[in-house]
Amino acid sequence: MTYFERLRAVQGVGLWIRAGVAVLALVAMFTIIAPRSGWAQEPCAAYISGGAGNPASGSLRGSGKVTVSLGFSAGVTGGASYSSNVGVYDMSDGSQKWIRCDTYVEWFGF
Amino acid sequence: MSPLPTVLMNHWARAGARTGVLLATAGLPFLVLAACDAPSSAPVADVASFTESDSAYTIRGLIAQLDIDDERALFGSVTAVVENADGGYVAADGLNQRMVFMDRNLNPVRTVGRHGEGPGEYQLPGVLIRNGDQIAVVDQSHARVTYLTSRGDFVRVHQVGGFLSDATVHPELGLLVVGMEFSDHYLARVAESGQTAFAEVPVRFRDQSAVFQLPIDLVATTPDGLVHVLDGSQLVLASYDGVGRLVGLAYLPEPMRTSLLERDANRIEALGGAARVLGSQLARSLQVLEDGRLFVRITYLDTVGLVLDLNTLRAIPVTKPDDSQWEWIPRTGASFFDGDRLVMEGLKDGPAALVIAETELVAR
Repeated sequence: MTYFERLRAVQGVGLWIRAGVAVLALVAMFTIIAPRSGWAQEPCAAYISGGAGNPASGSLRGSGKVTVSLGFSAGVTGGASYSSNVGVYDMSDGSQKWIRCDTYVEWFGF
Repeated sequence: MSPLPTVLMNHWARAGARTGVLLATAGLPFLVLAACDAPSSAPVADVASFTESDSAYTIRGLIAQLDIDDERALFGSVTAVVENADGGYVAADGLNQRMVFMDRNLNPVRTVGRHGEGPGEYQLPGVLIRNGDQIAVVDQSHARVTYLTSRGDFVRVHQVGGFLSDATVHPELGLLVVGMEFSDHYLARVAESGQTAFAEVPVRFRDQSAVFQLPIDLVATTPDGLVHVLDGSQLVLASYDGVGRLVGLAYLPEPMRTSLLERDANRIEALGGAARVLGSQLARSLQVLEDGRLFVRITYLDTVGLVLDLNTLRAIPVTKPDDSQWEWIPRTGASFFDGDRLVMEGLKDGPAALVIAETELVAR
């Protein structure tokens, strides 16, 4: 039996896990909230580099602000929130990097 | 490191396992590791490794190109490209926040979208998904999915919230997204009533180090209903059935996998470390071919992607010819592969914004 056939064979087993998944959703401790403000158009540099002699260089694909809050997955939020501008860069080695563009971390409680 | 609470940092930490857990486990037998991951209440997930094939899809010729100075498009950046239901292609422009609809020869026929908060407006359209006759646009910063017709007309928008790195539309489960909602699961299943956790992360891959990281995993659904998650920090394909149960783990081929992960860890440090690099995607996209195989966009030596065959566990490289005439074809950027045609973003300083190359399966 091939790997693929074994994958197919075990499909459909364990339907009871649906209930477990739902419970896990209720007890998950974290949630992300949508950005509170619009993303800045140019918060990140057009190009980045790892420095002289380092092949890690890349160009900006897009950018935005990421905000995360500590709370419950059911939608209840509380505690503090973290927010940072992030740029998405295509790197010369073929990877894509998500880079924090600002040098500070914005905090706010609610 | 930023002053985040440890508990919050741990939530973000799994994708940052590259320098720790991954390297520590790279040399261990996969079967032994997999047995440790299996939930006690479920059968042991099948575990394997892909082996690089003796044959490869290699670029043979150029079919079409969209010139970089073509005023009908003028891309700021191409973040994604996908085949449309009409046989043409759609490309997402991440810097100009729009989608360019093209015919099969890359002639732009319509451009839709703009920067903004409203319907049909985007912040960072980073992923495109073909969903039947529709195109689903994943706005990674707005964390929402916008559905367009094959002509580009707005259909509806599905607000998810938070941060999204990838998504898939499952025929029965609906929208599954890679986000931050559930720390121990790769995915969230999104419904009108809310989100539920889906695809539990194997225990071994749950890094506990205090590193702040974004999720960078990829997801795709094959025609048999299996949901495949490519763990971006482990370069392993985790397959789940329709109830979210792990049914298989298959590592990308060596030495590619270990080499890429080791090199990337060094480059992250060169860029300021994990406190500054919030995510690193070595695998850029995960796409399903018509025959059910998967195409992973990943760069390694002359390889610009892998076609993963779950039947044979062969990984067939898609390669760039070792020929100077193809030097201008990039190893990076967005791409789409159908087993014959390879659609790729052109070099930023090259002659084309997009190219279609014909490929041929040849012995290596």
